Amino acid sequence: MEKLLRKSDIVLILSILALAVGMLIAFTHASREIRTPRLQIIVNNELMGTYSLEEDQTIRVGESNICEIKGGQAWMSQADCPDQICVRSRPIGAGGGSIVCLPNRIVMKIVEAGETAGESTDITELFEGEVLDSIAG
Amino acid sequence: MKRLISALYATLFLCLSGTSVCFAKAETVSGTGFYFDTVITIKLTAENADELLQGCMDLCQHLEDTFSAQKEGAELYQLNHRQSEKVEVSDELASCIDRALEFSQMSGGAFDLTILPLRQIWDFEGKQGLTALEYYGEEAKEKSLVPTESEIQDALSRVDYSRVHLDGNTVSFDRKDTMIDLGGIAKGWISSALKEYLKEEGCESACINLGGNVTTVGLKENGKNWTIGIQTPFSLRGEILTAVKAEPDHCIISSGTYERYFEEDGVLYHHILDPRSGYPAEVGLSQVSMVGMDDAACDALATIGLVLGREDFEKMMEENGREEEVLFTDEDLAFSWFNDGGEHERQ
Repeated sequence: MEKLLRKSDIVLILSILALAVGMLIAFTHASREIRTPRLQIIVNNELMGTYSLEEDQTIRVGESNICEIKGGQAWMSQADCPDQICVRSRPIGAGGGSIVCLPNRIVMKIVEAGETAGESTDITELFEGEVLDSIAG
Repeated sequence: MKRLISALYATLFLCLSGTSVCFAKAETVSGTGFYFDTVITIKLTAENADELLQGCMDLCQHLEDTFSAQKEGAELYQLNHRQSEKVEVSDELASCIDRALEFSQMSGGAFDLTILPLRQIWDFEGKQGLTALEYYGEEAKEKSLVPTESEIQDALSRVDYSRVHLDGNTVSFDRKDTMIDLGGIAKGWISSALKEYLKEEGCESACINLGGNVTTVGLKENGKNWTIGIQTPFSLRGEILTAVKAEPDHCIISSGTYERYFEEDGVLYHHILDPRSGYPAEVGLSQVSMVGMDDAACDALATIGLVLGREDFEKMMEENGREEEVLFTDEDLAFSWFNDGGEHERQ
């Protein structure tokens, strides 16, 4: 009787199996990788830089605005715009969110908030206990 | 035994293909940009999320260069500064002018795409938060931020949508001094275009906010409806009046007197101009919000609601068989729904 399962077959099967299991572990791990929330500053639709929230610092954005990072929170401390909406905006931190200065076309934005991609922590506001995805007005 | 081996190979194949599915996992990304003199935020879920987000931003840039009446190189700017009475325009501009004409006619001129001369003399963009002295400088002296009666009459004589004609991609004008402004409809047209683009590219979940005009694609990534808050007029901190659970592909678009205005001698002059009188519309409303699937229509209708006032607007909606839901917010912030089939709780 012909031998159905040769030694080489077993080796092949086992190695493919090992590869599959290895890849599975690697991908599971990758998707669970803890990401560090960081601050991005975008000026005039272009990325100016990405900053760690763990390092207290003062960032000058052009001539017009100054942004502050302290104790894991970031906010706009100064702006020469007439409305001062950005300066009055609540500080943002690891939980996500953004601060916008429309007159000077600046966005401060938390990226990679939360533990995995796809899990949104971009909470804008709550209304009667409901998380709002966006605000019309 | 042979069957066992086949089964093993099949299992292995499944394991591997299962792993490769991980590669193609849908990702959620969000981006912010400045276009159309406002902030836009787009959040979407797709396998090629970054690519689609960039595609949306590129489309915004292209459409800003098409619909701007202020930007010198823009197609609409060139149309307004034309040399001949007939001009061939792009498909996008023709389509948006077509919709603008539709709502100018439907509203009998309460919405008028030729309002530009009137907008220019009021200049709410430039006057926001300023006094006459700050706006005009030292020469101001006795000058008011409010245009004079003769300036308004002069501008009004140039406003008349019936002087614009569209035939295919050809726009023709009866008079040389007629100028088009798509400010009251372009953002709605653009959010529709973004929505269509994303759907064509296979994206099943997105939420787009163009300076307060919100539109959605499908449901949230977790399969629930997008929940959209509607801002309380004149609230500095962006307080929320009420919230709407958006049906798939629906938009929520508001027009409000609080968006742009200036104050003089205790009077508030807001940017919702009545193209028939030449002055800000006074109908006792501070906001009209529309919920529907046709973004361009909702954008134009919200403005029409603020110009016509509740009664005439409801009549116009009924006569034209419009099915959009309407939320009226009074000046004292009391609000009520129309056309919603009693779905929303009434105040």
